[in-house]
Amino acid sequence: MTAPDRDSSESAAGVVHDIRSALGLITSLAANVRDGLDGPISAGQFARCSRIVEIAVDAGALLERLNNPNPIAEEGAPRMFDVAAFARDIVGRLDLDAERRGITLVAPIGDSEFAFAEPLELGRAIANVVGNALKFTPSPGRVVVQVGRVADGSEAIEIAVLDSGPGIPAEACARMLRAGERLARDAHHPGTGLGLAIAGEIMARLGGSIQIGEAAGGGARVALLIPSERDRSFDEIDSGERSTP
Amino acid sequence: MNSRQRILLVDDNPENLEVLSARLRALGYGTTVVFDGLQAIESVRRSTPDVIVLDVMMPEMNGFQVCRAIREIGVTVPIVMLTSKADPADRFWAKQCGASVFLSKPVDPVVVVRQIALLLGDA
Repeated sequence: MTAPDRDSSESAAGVVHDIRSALGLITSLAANVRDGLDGPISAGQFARCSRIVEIAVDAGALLERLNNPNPIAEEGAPRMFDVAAFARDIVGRLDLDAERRGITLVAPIGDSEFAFAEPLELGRAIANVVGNALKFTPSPGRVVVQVGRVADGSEAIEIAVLDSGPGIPAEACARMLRAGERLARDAHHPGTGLGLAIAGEIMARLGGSIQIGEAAGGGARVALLIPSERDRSFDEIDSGERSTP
Repeated sequence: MNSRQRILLVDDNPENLEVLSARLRALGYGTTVVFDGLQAIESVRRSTPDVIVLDVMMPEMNGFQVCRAIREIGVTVPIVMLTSKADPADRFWAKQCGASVFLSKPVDPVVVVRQIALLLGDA
């Protein structure tokens, strides 16, 4: 490398460092407002601050790509993000697959739901569960994805996937989370029986869980539960004056 | 959360110190803030904190030098390098100098706090 090249490279590295510093401060300031450290805020303000943090962290990941065009797993660092919007995005990408299978795929609607998780991992878990539902629901059928808070006081975020298929017998629900397990009636479907098992392992790594049961109108209901990290931290931070989304 | 646990924050940018310190204090930690490496070493000699959060790019001594100096005086508490540097070489040097964890900005401070809690066995 010639001297001018080195100067240019070092100067570029300095600029990237300064941009990272600025993004770091934006992230911290917005996160402090988001988490009520500067006083009570509204649900709308919470959502906007969360979005600022998300954008700043994403911008940092883009800078990383300048240095490393083939980022490894560190790209998907845990962070607070809108799980409902995230699930909508993933479900949107499965639309074509659903259409090809003659299934109506209904994406989650409604309010933002923020949780602290690792997006790449959570995305894999959602895609596995939705993909599983599409695969085992007879055509014409329906797969509905819902995102919301569990009404059991835990405030956990639940991503539920409900299908109009034949459902999973109660006695088989637990073993469906074991690698390689499949129902005898599904033997004609290609596959390895790993989809739900992998989703279960991912959720365990994220500190959450997976529940398999029956949908209200028949069919299977598979729910991914993410612990409410924000509220747990928040309880420790303030006196509870702040409104929550 | 143990209010007696003390975190030493080292950064030449007062705003960075202020925002992280506010969060840690709200969670019950005690914080000490210093603005350069020499002050950090002096502070550690006076009283060993439970965790040190260390910036890298600082005047006089950089964070790697400070980290190594702190290890050389026999202090073994966890050191979190929290920096705007992000190259693999920086991670390597952090490890070589005795840092426990390397975090690149921008990072959600929830992640920083969680990491500190993990190092303290609070998580």
